[in-house]
Amino acid sequence: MKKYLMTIFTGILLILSSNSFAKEDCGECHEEITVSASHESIACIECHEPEGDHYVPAADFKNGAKGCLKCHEEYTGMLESPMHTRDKEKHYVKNVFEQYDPDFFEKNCEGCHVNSCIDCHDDNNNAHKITKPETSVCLKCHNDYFIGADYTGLGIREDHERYQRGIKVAEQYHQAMLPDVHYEKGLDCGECHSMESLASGKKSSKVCNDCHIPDKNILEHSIDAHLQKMACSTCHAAWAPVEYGTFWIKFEGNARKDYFKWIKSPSEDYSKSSYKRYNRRPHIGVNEKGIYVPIRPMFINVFSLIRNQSAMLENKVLSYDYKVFVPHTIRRETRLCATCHENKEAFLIYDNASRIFMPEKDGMPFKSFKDGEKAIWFRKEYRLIDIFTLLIFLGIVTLTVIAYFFRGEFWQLTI
Amino acid sequence: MSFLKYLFILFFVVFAYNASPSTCVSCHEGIEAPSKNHEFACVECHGGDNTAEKKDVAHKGMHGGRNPSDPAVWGKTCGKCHQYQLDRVKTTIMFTNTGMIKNTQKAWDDFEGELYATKDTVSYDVKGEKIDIKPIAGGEKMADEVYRKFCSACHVGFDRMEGYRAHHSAGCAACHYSHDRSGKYLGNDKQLMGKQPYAKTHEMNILPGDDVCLRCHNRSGRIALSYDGKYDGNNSLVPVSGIYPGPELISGVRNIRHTAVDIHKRVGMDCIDCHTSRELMGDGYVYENMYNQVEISCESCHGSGDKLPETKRITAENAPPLYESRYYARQIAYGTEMVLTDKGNMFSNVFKKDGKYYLMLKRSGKLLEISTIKNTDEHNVYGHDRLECYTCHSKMVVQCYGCHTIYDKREKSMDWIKGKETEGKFSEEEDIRLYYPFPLAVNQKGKIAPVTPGCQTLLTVIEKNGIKSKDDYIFDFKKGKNFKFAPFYGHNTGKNAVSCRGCHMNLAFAGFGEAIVSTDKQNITSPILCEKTGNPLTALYSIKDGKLNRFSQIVRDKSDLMGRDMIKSMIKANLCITCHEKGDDNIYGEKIDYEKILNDDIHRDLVNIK
Repeated sequence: MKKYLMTIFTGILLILSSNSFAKEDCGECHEEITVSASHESIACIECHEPEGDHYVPAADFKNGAKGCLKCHEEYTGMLESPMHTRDKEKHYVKNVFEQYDPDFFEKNCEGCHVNSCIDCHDDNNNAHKITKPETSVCLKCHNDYFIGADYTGLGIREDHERYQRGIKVAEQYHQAMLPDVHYEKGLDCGECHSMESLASGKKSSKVCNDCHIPDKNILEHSIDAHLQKMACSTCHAAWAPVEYGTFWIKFEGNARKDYFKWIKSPSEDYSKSSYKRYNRRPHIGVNEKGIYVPIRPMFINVFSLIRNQSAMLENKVLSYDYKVFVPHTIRRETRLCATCHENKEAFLIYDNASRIFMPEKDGMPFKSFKDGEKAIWFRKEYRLIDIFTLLIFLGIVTLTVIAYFFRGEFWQLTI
Repeated sequence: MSFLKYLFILFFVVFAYNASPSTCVSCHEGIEAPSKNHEFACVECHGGDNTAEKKDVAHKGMHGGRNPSDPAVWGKTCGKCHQYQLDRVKTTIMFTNTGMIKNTQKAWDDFEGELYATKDTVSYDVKGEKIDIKPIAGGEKMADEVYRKFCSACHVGFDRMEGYRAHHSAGCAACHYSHDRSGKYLGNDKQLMGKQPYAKTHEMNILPGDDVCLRCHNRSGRIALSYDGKYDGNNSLVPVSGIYPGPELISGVRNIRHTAVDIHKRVGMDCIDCHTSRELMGDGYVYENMYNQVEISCESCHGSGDKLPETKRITAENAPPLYESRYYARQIAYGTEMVLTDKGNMFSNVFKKDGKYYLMLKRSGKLLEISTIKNTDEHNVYGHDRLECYTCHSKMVVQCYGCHTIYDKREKSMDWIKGKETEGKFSEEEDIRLYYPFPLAVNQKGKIAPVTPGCQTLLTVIEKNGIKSKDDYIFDFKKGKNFKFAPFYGHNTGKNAVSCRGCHMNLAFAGFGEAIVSTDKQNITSPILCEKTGNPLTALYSIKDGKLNRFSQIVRDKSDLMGRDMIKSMIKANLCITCHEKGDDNIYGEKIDYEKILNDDIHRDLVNIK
């Protein structure tokens, strides 16, 4: 504390004693700071505006990142970019979780969002070494289930500590996987996701066709329907992280969280696990343009609430959502014809005969995590209501039949 | 005469119960009789002094404490009457664990040609040669230690008194007594009520139920789980069950979830309805491997494409089915035409009557008609005589990929064989658990069968100073750092087989994992990698520039990878399967001459083969 006071005091003294805000003066206190070559010739105050008795951080979004945007005006859009606002995610979380936990987003999702230019443009947490971000910087957030890690050959792992091993990136363990061919050839994320594109709210600046023209001599390419109706990644994505059932267990009061100590704990109140999560060939769906594209669960959220010694909610399914996505695991090699044309499972077409897993026996209200139709006719917990409804229905049918029978000439009895 | 016999028995029972002034039951009031045949004085089995009033005096000299069937004393107790059974059990592979020990040593590159067992075993092998197997307690290699500290908790001679749903007593009681999930006694003896570790009650299982098999067979191959339509998943502990991890728990805080149930279980069959007593309790000979002791296969009951099950009529009064079925719900009669096991022994509950084959459930007496497959087209497909039945009829085969074993010399752990804590502790981590599809290779019989990692061990050794002297070390096996796969029947049989297309068009069955293919570059690879070697983890091979690379091998003697030609013919069959979808299509009965058929009048215009 003493040291800080001293620094602040000297700082104020310096400011008062001199009107020149040249670099040397800042350096008297901040002597450890060296600015990277690109910004070396600029005086500190060019970026750091005065505020009160001192200066504001240059790159913070909450100050409008004025220090940076003064020169880099064309990236002003970053202040409104999805990476910063996370509007869609917040909206989704609100829809799904709000009635069970209004603070869900703050507790479990707050870890990843851009708040400052230097979140990406620093070098090893050194804010003044301003650099063009490499792929590893993106992985600070884009790890585990989120696209980015897959590009570098990092797959997901199961949630239990038995499987928490292998390659650790941003506090998450990953499975070694075949990386994207573009990564192997040395392309960083920025090659396709330029600053311009991010600042203008686009997902990318380049798509496959900007660089590649499909060779029609390749058998699969010679089929017109393939090129017209399918995304390249539908065949060329080698694998994708897929999580069936995202289980959230919320603990309130003196509930025993330690019963679940072997699985992940994203925040103090929560444990998180999944029915199955691994890296596999992606499922296929249809996007809004009618194109066949990879899809994956995002998310089948299942919520349990344990308050003190009782279970208030048990495996309540809050959402059963599959989402279109672009696996960044592109290879020259592709999945074989039969993995689509002979494989109902790829399209989430539910087939009871070939079913192996029985989630309905495990306490789930559906028969499969891979069911495009997702329907269970008679849920256990609704059995009484079902029987009651069926009885009423049967009653009505019987009465109708009787009524029909005594119509017209049969009704002569009354005369 | 008969009257006299009963009078004698009555006299004996009365004498045993009342005439003897037993003080045992004055404390253990209400304790159950083990069975009708065991209604005699407690001291007959337990030893001790049944005239003493004080507990300490009465309990002095008891055989084996709470468990008189413990191998340390079983010669004086169970073996006194059941000499024949005891002599067999002493050499059964479930007691000696010879195969498990040998394969652990082989997997860890520690095998030096010598066999070991849980105890010093001197007996005879099936050729009549005398065999002296050394006790594993003397083994000094790391493989011996991992067996003693990990695997040995599951053998018939081990008194396992901890772990939820994992208790079993040593010796005969391992199978013939049931234990509650909690390990507590829940019978009527007021002294023991609620205490642990004890058997669930004092009543014995004359015919052991599946619950006792599950006590051990819930790990590694996990066949007791798979058979019952269960799997211990990914330990994810969800879906929750109330305030606890769910849906069900088993030892090691693993959660059990549900799969399709084995077809045999679905019709009511227990483990013992297939497995004969000679397989479980041994037949008196020492065997090196489990598969040598096993005497049954699917074909023993269901026949094969060209043969019906073999039978033999009971013509001797001492034929095993006659005395083995004595405590079944229904007894086998003299003269019955019994079905034979692969070793030519009679099943004691499978027989032929009026041209039909039946299996009788041992515990309930219910008859099940067995369908045989002789002369069915789908079982006479050319080349498929090389398949095991369960190659097509397995619904799932549990596969644990990447077994990262850590040996930490800084810590201590229990050596179950030596019965004391010693230096060094093993722990395990895993990469991936998969179920379907599963890779195929050639098993010890020369047949194409499912294989499962067995084991993909990567060993890390942490020395006392904390330095890793080995880091994810892969042992040498069959000339090189190969991953090991073992032929395996997963015990999750389905009536519906994997379809022709499902197998021939899915390269995972051929051993290429989650295959991705470039016909142009002639590459086939699989994306899940071993971080140590960089090779595909879930595949047996890959193809690069048209060249087949092997990085896995099959562990058993005489077993092997399918190899180039077999894979080629498996994939080539797609030329026909694309149109002729079903195995019962009669075109598959003989060898396909692709050149001739595809160039005939019908096919010439459809395909263009070069």
